[in-house]
Amino acid sequence: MTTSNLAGRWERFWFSPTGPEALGLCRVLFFALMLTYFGGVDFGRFARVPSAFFMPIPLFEYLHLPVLSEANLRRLAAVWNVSLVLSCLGVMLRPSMVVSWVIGVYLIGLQHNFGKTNHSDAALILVMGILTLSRCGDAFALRRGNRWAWSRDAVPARRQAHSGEYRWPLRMVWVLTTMIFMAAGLAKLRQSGIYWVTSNFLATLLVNHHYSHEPPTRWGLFLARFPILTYPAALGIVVLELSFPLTLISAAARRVLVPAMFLSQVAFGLLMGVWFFHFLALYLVWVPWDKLLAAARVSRPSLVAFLPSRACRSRALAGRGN
Amino acid sequence: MTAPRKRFVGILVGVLVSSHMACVALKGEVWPFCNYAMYSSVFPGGKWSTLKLVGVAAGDGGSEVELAEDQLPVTDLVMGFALRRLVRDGRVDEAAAQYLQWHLDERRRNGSKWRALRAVRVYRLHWAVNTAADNVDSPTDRELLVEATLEEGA
Repeated sequence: MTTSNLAGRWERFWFSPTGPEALGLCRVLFFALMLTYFGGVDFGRFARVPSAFFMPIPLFEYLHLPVLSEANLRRLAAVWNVSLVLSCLGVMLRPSMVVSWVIGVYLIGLQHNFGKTNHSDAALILVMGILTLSRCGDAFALRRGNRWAWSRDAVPARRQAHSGEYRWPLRMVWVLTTMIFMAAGLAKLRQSGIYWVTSNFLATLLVNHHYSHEPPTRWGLFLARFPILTYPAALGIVVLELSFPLTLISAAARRVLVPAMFLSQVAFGLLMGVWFFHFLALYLVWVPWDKLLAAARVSRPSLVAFLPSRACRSRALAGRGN
Repeated sequence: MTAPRKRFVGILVGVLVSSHMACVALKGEVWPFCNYAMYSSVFPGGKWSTLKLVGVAAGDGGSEVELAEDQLPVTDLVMGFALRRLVRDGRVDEAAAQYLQWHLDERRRNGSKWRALRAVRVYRLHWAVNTAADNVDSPTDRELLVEATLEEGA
């Protein structure tokens, strides 16, 4: 492959012109999920955790971030919730997303200073950062025009033209997702090698989680009795994780590996009581929203009246181009 | 898109990928960059052990009471990990004493809804794991690591 080929592929992967809807919709759904994850968390209680339990993660240790007082944590959480709502709706988007990211780093990070670092919410911080740096407010955003309304007539038409600006943030979340799953696969190989598969360790995990967690089903115990099932399942997990980078270059791989990974995480929840709810925010980005929205426009025009119209984008393309 | 903007995106991609790869290579993590090594180390089956904080009720002969999750400063799962680190660092005595004071303070805050404690104990619980998991509520063995007691008049 020549350098120019490679550069062309890079350019197409990251910056092929795309409409703003998929990115805008992902922003709405992502921040809605953030509100469901964290809207009900009482962050104030962390101020009362005995000091012996405070074991700061490097972010807090090196930046000397303190645990704020209970009242201040509650105030900060309230501001955060408001900024998440505004980010979801697309109101004062840039400042509200910066605020939600900065406070999010502190509040989500704070929870990891008491003995256990949760991995799944780390990705949320990175996705929030990516969205903050993107133009995700050019669709599905409330703007003050003559009235508050979804972006159809409010966002200047020129900003709704197809652009690489609407593609790279989604692609970056793809890359992030890939890094996470590939890292998990590599860690298994580095720590345990093929022994992770050949030792029937999966059966051990399935049984032990009934002692350490509370799985909603006893299917894991049943499955663990059949090595003929657990060996291939363990191999499948490692292969799935290590082959996930294929999703970046192959649409066929995406169609198989992304749903397979999602289902394997659902299986972890059902069999072991380990739920990866935060990963839903990552899977959002793998949904082909452009195609779904286009199909919705054709079949149910009344339901999608708030979408930026094709005519609007066509005018923009004709008038300004990309 | 302008060329500088594309370069900026390229730098972001580089930071994202290299940070994760560094975590994988160094087997470490600097949250929010992680190596996602959960469940990567194989351990033998057939046994399981964990650390547990148990209360000792005040005024009824010192019976032990289970501490529900709302009676812990962190979730039950996090408490297990925290106790493991505290035992490793030799600070579990201090943590147990602080917990007891925390329980007393929280009990005052919530109008004495919780049972009063006169002590807490940290146990290491061991199970001989069986594939039916029918002994989850009855550990095979338990080992007392620490007991912290309220001072008179507290």
